[in-house]
Amino acid sequence: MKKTLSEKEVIALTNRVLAESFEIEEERLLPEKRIFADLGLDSLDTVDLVVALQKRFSITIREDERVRSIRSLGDLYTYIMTVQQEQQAGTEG
Amino acid sequence: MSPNDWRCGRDFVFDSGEIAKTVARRGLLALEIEVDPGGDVREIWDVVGQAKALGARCVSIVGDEPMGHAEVLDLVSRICSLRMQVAMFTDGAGMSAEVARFLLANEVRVILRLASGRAGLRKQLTEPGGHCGGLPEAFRSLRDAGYPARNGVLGVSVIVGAENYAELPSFWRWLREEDLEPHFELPKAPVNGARSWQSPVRAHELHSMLRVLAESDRSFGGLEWLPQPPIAGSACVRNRVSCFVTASGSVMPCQGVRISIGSVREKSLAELLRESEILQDLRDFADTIRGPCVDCEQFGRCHGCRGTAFRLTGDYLASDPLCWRNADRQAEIECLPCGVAGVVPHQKPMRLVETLVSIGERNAVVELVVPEDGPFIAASGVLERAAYPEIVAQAAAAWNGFKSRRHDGLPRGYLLGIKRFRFDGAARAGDRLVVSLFKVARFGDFGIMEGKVSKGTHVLARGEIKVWHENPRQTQGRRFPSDRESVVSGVSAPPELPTG
Ligand code: SF4
Repeated sequence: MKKTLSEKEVIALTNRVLAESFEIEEERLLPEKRIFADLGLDSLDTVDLVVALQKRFSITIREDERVRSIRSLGDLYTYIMTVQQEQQAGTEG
Repeated sequence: MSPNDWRCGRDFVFDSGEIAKTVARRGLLALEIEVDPGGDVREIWDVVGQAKALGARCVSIVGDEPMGHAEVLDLVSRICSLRMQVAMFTDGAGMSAEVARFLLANEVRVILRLASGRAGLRKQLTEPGGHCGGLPEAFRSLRDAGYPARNGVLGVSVIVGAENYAELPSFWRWLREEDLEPHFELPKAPVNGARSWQSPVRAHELHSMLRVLAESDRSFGGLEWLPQPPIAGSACVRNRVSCFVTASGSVMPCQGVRISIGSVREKSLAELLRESEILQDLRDFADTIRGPCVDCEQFGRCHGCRGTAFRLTGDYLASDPLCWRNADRQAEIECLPCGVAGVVPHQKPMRLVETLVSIGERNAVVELVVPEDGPFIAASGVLERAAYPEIVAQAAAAWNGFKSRRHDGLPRGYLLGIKRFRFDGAARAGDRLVVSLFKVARFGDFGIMEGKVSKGTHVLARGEIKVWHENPRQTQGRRFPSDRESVVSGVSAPPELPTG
């Protein structure tokens, strides 16, 4: 059974993915920042971000309503926390 | 006897609500597990535990002869201690009186398998000393122990063939009279039997035989069911609520669709079910199956036998070629390998790929022969390097185009980027090249694919492409299964007559 990561660990790992994959400076990675408008990602970057997050957290991210409602980095942290817990417990959906 | 007293596979009953929930959460209601004599019982036990956590409550123990495993009875009692129902498919080996009593005490459904390709069905089951090994002795032990009983279903499985065709109706009736559960399955085509295989029993013969059996049930016990593939008296729902785990740990949709979606030795069952595109396609069958089945009034209650479709066409989403309703529409059922003209929007000389060879779990294989001339061929006759990413992109388009065949028009697609392409060697006009694709990730209509272009065993180029592919799946006109569906040995449902 994989270890469920704490909120702090999720935030640190997500920020590292964004910094490494999209060369965004760490100090700009704040929970209130909007992923597209403030951090400069576009829809073509989304699939790369998904692949990197899936790999880093060993989770499966599907395009559903919850993903579509993600706007800010804070939303993304919350989503990853929820999905890793669900998928470890096998209670997805 | 009222119709409800029949045990026509109605023991494991799931309603459509729980089937839909199971599909949505990518869970299980049943598990088929192969138990070989040398199988690792701890691994089997672990898989059963994972299946239980995913919602499974029925386990079918299958294999060449699962009763040959030294610890199989211990396994049965442990599975039963999880409050899961067990079905044991056996040729009768080692079925002593004591073993039979043990199985009944644990409410195990026992399904005795008669030899396929041999006549004398009743003899095989009841007359000792023949060619049927321990089957008659096993049958006697089971009956002496109290089978069949309300808490102990005894089934008899028969593969319908030319040899036993004539005696099937009387044998079916006899099984009913004896309160035994008939499992009459249609013949299974060999793997890679595409185009060349002929069923030993023709489609219309299967249809008339199933009609006779249905009429027999109606007149004898008042049980109504509609003839449809692949099991007499039942509709198969395996691909929606079950999976098959082989003795070597590979996970497959069912025993017929033998495509590995991964191994329980590498990933958890939950991860494999969650990530598998094949399972998702099969679970969404109302949107994904192609060909004449889609026009059938039974579609939704029935999706034909996926195993037969895969074995005969190489495509697990093809219409069932053995169904009598499709007998006149064989030309509409596409087989792999297939030409890609009309599957991709590209025209020659821009189109380089020629044949879609196979589709697997997040992978596909496409072939081409390097043309003599055209925009990608240098004056020296060598294929330009710029052609390789294009070939991989066209191969991806062929894969997506084939999967979208059910819908009108070709799906749109764009190559958005290429990454990490490496080259080693060159191809010349006339060389046959094989493109192996692996879908690294898909998110909405975006995908990342790894492509490898090889000549023989030599890899000429490999790299990653990012694509956008339109997904033309439509939800309009979708038909859903009937209100209640049940599972025979964890996997099938009695078909219902149309209501209107
Ligand atoms: S045509 Fe297809 S859906 Fe209709 S009964 Fe035959 S296999 Fe089932």
